[in-house]
Amino acid sequence: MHRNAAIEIRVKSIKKESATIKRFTLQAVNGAELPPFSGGSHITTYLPKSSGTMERSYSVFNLSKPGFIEIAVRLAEPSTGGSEYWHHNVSEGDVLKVSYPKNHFPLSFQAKHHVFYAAGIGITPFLSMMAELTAKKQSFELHYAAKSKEQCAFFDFLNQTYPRQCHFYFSEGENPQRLSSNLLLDHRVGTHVYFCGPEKMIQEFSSAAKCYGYPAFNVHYERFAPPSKKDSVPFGVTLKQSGKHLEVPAESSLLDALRLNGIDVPYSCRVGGCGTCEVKVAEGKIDHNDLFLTDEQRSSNQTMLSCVSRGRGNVVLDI
Amino acid sequence: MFSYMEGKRKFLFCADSEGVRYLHILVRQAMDENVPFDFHILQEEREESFVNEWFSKQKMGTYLYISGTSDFVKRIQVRAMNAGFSEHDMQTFITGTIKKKLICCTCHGENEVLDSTHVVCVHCGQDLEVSDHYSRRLDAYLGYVTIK
Repeated sequence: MHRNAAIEIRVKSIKKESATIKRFTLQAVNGAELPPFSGGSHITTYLPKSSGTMERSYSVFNLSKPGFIEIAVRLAEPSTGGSEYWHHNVSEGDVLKVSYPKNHFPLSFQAKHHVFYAAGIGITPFLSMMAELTAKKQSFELHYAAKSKEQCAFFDFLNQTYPRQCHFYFSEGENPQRLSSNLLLDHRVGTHVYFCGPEKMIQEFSSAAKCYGYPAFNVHYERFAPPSKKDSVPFGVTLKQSGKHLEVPAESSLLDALRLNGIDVPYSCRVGGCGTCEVKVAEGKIDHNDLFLTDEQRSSNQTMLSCVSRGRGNVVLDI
Repeated sequence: MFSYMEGKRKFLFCADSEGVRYLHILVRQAMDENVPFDFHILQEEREESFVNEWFSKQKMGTYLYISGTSDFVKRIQVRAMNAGFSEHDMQTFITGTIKKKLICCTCHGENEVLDSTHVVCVHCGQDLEVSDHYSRRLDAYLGYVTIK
């Protein structure tokens, strides 16, 4: 539908939410209302650089007027380019292109109760989710970890808007508190849990949920970045239908290698969360790094997500 | 038949007097693995409202087994779903005849089917074949037109 369409937006205002987080309010250049979005949605922003267009996705929310879209960007250390661009190259009044909102992190419609676990900038998808649940009069709670009150983006807003549902955990200061995955032991049956934050936090909480007997159906998470490629090694790929062979270097994803060679694999999130870039595997061993496929699909060895998963040695793809 | 679910914090076993024997093997395994469990046998329908409180007090990671006649399983399952259990937190086993609801694809009327593969719609007379096309919303199967 709007997969490849882009909207021209103007940056209406920029607000510093903490030392490292800025909030950008976006409005349509033509004055129309920007498209509505469901809780957990994100947009892809197209950032013009001399080396080409950089694509970065951010969760969307709207704490301002109807018809606007807002994103919050944390200046990453080190930045891979996106957050640095937003923090240092974007000013109020600038015009940029963004995608239509997409949602790879939707709320469950079967949950009796929703529990959000956020660490740092991981709060952003929950802002739109909490707004949606409030409108639908559904029950939820938020557990939010940050270094301190000062570094806790949206602290005042959350405290004023959802005073009974928010629990904060500040790791620095006089009375340090840690957000513990033991909290998962105390949720009533019918609860759905949602994790968003650094990779380590997502791993800890999703492993704990599994260990406590949560069905995968009740556990949801969203990554901001692909899993670390520290120990990636190159591998070879043979395309079954054309017989073509190509090498995927250690620092590149299979998706990038395929697209570089003119194979137009569709993609969206690039972090293994949405399944858009799935390719069929005919032969070979796969290291799956995605959050999308089921355990059965992974062990079938017949499919992989080309944005994050890698082959060992040589793999044959059915494309 | 039931399968034992590994890695759960607690089991709930709920049966009528017909279904109780199918749970023994699971109870033994739970005991061997030191997994805590509750076990309730419900003899009469008027006892069943008690399960509402029992189910709603449970925490995530609890797994439910329901065993008994078609009507009993259906009633307990509805109460469990209302408390927050989903199909991912439970297994059911029906003793005796399985009753199915069948929706006529012509008039959308509801028919009750026991063991047959073909029925005549009681509302419009259409010859129907019982498909495995199941609607969770209607808790019913779709009846296709029989091709003669």
